[in-house]
Amino acid sequence: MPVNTDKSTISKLKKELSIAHRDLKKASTLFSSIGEAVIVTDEYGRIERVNSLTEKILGYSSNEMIGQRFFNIVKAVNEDGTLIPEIDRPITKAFLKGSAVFERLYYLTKYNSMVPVDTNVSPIIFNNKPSGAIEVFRDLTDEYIKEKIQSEFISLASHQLRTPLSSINTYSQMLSQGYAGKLTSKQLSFVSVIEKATSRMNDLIHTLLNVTRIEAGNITVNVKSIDIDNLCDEIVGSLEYLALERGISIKYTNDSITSVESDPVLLREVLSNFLTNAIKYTPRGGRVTLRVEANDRVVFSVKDNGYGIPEQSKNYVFSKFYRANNAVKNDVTGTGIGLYLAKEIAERLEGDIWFKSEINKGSTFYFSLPLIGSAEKQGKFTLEIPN
Amino acid sequence: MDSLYKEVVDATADYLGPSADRFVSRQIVGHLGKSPEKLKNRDLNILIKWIKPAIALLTDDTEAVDNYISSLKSLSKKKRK
Repeated sequence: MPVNTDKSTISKLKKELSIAHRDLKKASTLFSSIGEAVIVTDEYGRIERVNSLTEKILGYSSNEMIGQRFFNIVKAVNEDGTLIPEIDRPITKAFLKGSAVFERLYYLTKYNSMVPVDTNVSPIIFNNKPSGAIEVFRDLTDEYIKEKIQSEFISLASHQLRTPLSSINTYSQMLSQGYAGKLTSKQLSFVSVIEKATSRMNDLIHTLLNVTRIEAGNITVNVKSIDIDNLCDEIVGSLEYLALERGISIKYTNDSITSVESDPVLLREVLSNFLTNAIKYTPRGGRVTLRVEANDRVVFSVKDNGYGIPEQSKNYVFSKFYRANNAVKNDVTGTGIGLYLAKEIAERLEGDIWFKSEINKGSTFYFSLPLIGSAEKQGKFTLEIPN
Repeated sequence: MDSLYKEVVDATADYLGPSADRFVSRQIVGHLGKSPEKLKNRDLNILIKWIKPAIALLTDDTEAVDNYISSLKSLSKKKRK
């Protein structure tokens, strides 16, 4: 075929070549600027391209990687160091699925150290055909260290704070039961103060540790079929002493739904929190109602005719350590963590949490779950229930 | 009667050995959304499209990959009852 060599054609071709070079350079710069490690493979599973972050994480230079079989360079292992078979690797699964696969695993560097990574890999489709894969991954070492520190703190705090409290509790009970001799009524009242303070301290440690676990973002959700009446009766029963002490009546109603799939420990924590607040912030003679309804969602609500929440405090009700002025006035013992914890749990259970309130008329706190319930989630921690 | 699926597995076994059955059935279920025994000639082009990069990942030998794909393509041309 004759080639057209007139000046205008050559000029046009030169211009197009210049644009193509510029676009290629720009694409190359964009690739190098990506803030995560990137590996591109061709249709034969060979490494075609890597960026500098990949070199940094894996320890190989780009020259050592390019042209090599992906699995010969990027070796993946489980937490115990055992090699993950190639057929179970995310990139193999991506070709099986035909779309992106996201996984956390460990990569072995050139020097055989293990690096925890968060990886996502997708097939590259060109002309309607898979022509390779692109993997983007991130070094999670810093996050793993942070999680390890949090986990160690939780274990340490749990043990170191609770052990002395346990001693105080045990010996104060022994004192009040007369193991060291009969106490006078004044001495007994002093011991009673110690016991109540110890119990409050225990609840506070329990709540703080649960907040730390929740904030570590790794709470297990153990889904079970929950008998709603049994759970709610149990919670109401456990708070009857508090209600009686304060002259509050508690009522439970449910004429809609018998069971829901969710985590009973987490659900109990939310409802206990709502009920405890309702009792504490309602004056003597007041009423608290726990109601369960179901239409397109399962809705738990706790209504009181108490002090209500001031308008200026409403935006902060679910914030950590926040307590409205009238709450502080009416209950000096509150921590401002309960509703924050309830909100975090609600998110973990894929539920919603909200409230309505009017000053001096009362509040209603709501927690709803989807009718199909919560999804099971594996985490590093489970929430504790207090003794 | 020899099914097309069995023929594809036999062709794959030369490269993946005992893993061939699991590999091929996963590809068929994943990309064609049907049970492996229901594989037809007309499905092979789509299957080959996805099998090629998947098997290429698992072997070091690009010539072997090309030979394997050719053998699958020849199966698609075979007349069946």
